[in-house]
Amino acid sequence: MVKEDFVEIEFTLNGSPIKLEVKPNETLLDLLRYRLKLTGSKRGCNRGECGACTVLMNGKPVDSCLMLASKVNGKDVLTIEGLGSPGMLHPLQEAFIVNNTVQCGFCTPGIIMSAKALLDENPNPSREDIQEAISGNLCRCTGYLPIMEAILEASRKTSENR
Amino acid sequence: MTEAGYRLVGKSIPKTDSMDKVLGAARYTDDLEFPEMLYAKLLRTKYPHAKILRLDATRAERLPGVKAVITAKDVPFNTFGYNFKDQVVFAQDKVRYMGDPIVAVAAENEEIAEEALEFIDVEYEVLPAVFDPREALKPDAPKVHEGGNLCFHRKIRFGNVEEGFRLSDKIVEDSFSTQKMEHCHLEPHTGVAVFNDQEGLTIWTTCAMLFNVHGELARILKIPSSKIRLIHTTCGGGFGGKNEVSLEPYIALLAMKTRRPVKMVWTREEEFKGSTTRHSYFLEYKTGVKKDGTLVSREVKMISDNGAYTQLGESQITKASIFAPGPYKIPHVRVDGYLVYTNNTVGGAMRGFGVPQVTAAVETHMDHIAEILGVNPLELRLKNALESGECIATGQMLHNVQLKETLLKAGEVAGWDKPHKRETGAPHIKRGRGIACMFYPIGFTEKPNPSAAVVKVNPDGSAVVLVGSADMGQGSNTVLSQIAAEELGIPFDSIAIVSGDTKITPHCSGTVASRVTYATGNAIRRAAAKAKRMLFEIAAEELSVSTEALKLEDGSVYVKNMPEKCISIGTLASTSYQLRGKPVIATAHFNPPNTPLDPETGQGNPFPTYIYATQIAEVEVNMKTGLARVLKIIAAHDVGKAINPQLVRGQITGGILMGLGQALMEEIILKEGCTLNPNFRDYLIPTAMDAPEVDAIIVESDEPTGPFGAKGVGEASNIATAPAIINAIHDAVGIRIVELPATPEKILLALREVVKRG
Amino acid sequence: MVLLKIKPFKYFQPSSLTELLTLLEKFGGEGKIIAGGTELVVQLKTREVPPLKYIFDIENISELDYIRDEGETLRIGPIVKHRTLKASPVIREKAFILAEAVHSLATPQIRNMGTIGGNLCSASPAADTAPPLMALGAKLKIQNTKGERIVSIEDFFASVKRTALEKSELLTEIIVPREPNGYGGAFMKVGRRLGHDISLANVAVMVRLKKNLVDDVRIALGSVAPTPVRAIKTEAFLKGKEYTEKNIRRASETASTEIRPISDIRASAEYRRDVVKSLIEMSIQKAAERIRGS
Repeated sequence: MVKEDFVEIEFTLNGSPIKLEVKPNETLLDLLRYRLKLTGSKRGCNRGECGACTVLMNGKPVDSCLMLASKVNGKDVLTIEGLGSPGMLHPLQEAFIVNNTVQCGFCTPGIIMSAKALLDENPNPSREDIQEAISGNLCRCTGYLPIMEAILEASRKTSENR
Repeated sequence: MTEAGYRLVGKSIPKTDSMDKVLGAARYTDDLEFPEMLYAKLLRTKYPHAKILRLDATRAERLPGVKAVITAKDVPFNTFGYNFKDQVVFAQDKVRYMGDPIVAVAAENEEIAEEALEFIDVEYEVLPAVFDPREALKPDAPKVHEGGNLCFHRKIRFGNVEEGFRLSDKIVEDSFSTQKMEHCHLEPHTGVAVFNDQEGLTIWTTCAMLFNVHGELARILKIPSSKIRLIHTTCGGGFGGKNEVSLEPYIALLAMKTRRPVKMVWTREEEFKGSTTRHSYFLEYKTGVKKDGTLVSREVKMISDNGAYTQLGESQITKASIFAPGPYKIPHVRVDGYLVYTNNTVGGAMRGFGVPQVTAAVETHMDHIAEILGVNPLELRLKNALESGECIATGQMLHNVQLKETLLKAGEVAGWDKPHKRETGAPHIKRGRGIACMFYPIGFTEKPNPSAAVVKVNPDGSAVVLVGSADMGQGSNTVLSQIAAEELGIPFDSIAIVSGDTKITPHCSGTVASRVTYATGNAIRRAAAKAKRMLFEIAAEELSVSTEALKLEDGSVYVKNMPEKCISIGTLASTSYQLRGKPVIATAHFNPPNTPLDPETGQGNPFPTYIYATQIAEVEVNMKTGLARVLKIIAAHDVGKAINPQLVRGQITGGILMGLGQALMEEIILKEGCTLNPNFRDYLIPTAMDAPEVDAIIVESDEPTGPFGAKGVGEASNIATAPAIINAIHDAVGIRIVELPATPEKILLALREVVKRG
Repeated sequence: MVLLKIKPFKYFQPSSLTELLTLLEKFGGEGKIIAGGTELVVQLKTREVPPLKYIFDIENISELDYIRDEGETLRIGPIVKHRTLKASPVIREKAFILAEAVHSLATPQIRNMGTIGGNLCSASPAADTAPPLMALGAKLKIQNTKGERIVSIEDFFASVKRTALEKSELLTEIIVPREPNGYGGAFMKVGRRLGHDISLANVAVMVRLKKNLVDDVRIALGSVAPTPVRAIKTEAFLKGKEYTEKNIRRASETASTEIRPISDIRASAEYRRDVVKSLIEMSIQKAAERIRGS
């Protein structure tokens, strides 16, 4: 019987510093959903194959179901909950609403995070850039085209605002 | 409706649930949490066909943190099933497929629940098993159920096929097979059950046939259905995979035993191994044609792998049999559909319900016929396409047939008449184009399937609509609200819809069979019309006119031609309630009319109306790797009236990608009943990189029996895609794949075969 | 096999190489190293790797995270992420086929988490970084408390999913000779769809031409043998021959004799055998087109 240790981690979560203890065998997804009650990130396959659990770590998309929670120490984590708010939506969130992009919505938080990382790095992505950026996010409802169009529209809005 | 058209119908109103979803605030079933909640897991069998000799769960029961362990003996009534009651809640004497559950455990957390399964001892006696439905039909095959392996035989007899073959100039025969597929809704099966004195049993889950499962659960638990409440939560997709009883009995029994809330979430692996899958098919087609391309006679024999239990298998093969001949006028048709038990994963409903499989076959077959006759595939279809007033093989006469319109429209947009641009810039990459068309029904196959609605108008003029129809994510709540608001003449934002609650909302037969907009929409319209009549009666009294002199518009009732004489709906409603003592509540239902099929001849009117579509695929095939790339799909879909065009388009693009998966990459690989690829690494579904360009054309018509002329679209979009792609591959490289999926391996090895044969 | 939770383990996050090597010396036999975790975490969840007593996380050892340009040689630390390699101008310039391989490796999320060391140590015959490193003639530095050794990348892959690492050892550096002048290189792979897939076959080629003769060629193949392999006989066949389509085809035929593909749920041996030939032909052609100054 292995004696369980706790690992102390300190990181930034959605803009605020947070300090807590995690179990070594806890994944970031477990931590977010079950301990911190941030249920926006979803558990679709639990193997890093569907992307529904995608969050940003230091601005880059990662599969939180594969990330041991201890690894976020010293990092900057952004989840869907930290992206926009009802009065101040991110252009991606706005575009998804206005274009009726969202169907069941289970893939949506993960895809929006991947798309945000894309637009932060490449404000004028091509169709191919977008396809690649969300290639690790599965969607079964929309066939991806409405999503790609919404991302393109959001990219135009964000580059307008620069 | 005003002179300018409808206010809301036909408009792409933003869905009412998008804001929560983009903020990550939408609460799906796994996001629900209750104090003292337990976590449940299922132990499933190790063998596909075996007797259970001994079962000992005492070590699991004693594990700290385990609160309850249940098996078949804890179930008041252990059998269920929609078509036939052949499935068990827990396997008792024997297991019939690898997903059969034997034990359920509830524990303080997921870790302990998982660990508890390791402490359960089961002793099996392995039985000979059968995995090929053709083998299962043989007399000496191991029996999955006592009654034998032929579960059901659907017969369609129309005209005389032998006579038809004699009259034909050419006879073409083809064999096909289609694969078992998995829905891959991104949200796995999830449910939470709470049991207490005050409310009885409450279950939050996402099943599409909520009321059916409700009834089954009452039977299983042997308690009045009024004491069970199923609440449909925000759902992460279904596509038919969440229709039937799944995890509800387990969480119900565990909640009742422990008096604590119980949550169960299926793993992705369990989705592949233990949930329903799309039936695989072996199909044989024999068609007699005239030289000029006129179809004379068509005979179809098909064998469908039911898996170990039926669920909706019989309705499915009946539907498949009706559509097996394709959307064509054929004077002589004979179809034999055999639904066969095996020890494989259970076949259930999956988007299209048998029709994607038969359409893949018949539309590839049609292309083969076109090739043999030297006829343009579009022309062949136009020549034989069903039209209004024609009969299908069940003898039903069709109305409002839009098939030719979709063929012509798709052909026009694709430039089918113009020479096809074939240059690709590389000699080993070949481009091709393929066409396929289809038709599909609205509503259940040959059985009553009503939807009911309640409309309550509040004193401030807003309205609450209660419907049983679950929103599986496709946006029915929004579309139904549009219909309600349009009918009541009030703003869209004034409608609140309560859907999918077996205690509060009236009955709905299910979010299946592309029926919700049509059936529930009609029910809402009827109920809203009744509510309007009540309001008109009050208005007539107040304004001293007859009800005929009134019209409703923009939230008020007016005297026609005297707009200054008007009363707001709110005032009318409060007058009715507060002054006359009559709350404005109206109830109505709608049952899509159909008649059962004759068991010997398949004659009858199985559906109230049909939708039509044509898809044209443009594909590039890499001759060195076999990889097919779908460049573009042009899809012309008849939906009746599109209540919300953006949502219709979303269904079309989504369905097309699912059809692309069926064509090129999806397949549950079973070996000796064991699923070898129960994950997304090896059961491949299309990603964004696989997405083609799509030109989605909504071909509108006015369906007289539908709400504001609407029919439906949910399943139609994934039916013509696979054969369009298969036909395009043939056009590109001259090989016809008749065993789906057309993987790069199959295509490459077929190309090599052609070269070998010289 | 149910798949939600990882069983508990004792977790070490050493911050120096010395600390790690000492841990491996003591406990290496009962534990595993984790970098990005994209593979190990899945294996632990599926119990493909049985519950571990120890896990040694090496991502905090900053001395293992570097890309050093020493002119003719590049030195890469094992915990460098695929995304870093993809974005590195040095890798692009001096080890182009490695950049090409990581460009579309797996998904963006996996590229942001996974490391080159992890990819190599998985010893999957399909590992996408292996063929380019092999074609570049990479060597690997392996260390334990007692010292270090350098092995060729061929020797590093012992058999299916097994490396030459002992339980007390760590892969500490990937030493990559830069692409020499006059060479062109290409990396190609094949999957079951356009979206990412485990490679059914992957190939890396480096070629140098003199007049129209193949002066030097290196061909590394993945997913067609128990380990990634150099097609030595094929290279020998091509060297000195005229660079013609016919000779390239004959070379790919020769490669058939150097591989032992298997049939699994992803592809049959027959398909792998066929498609790897095409990949070799296409890679050689692409590589030749890319020769600098040609």
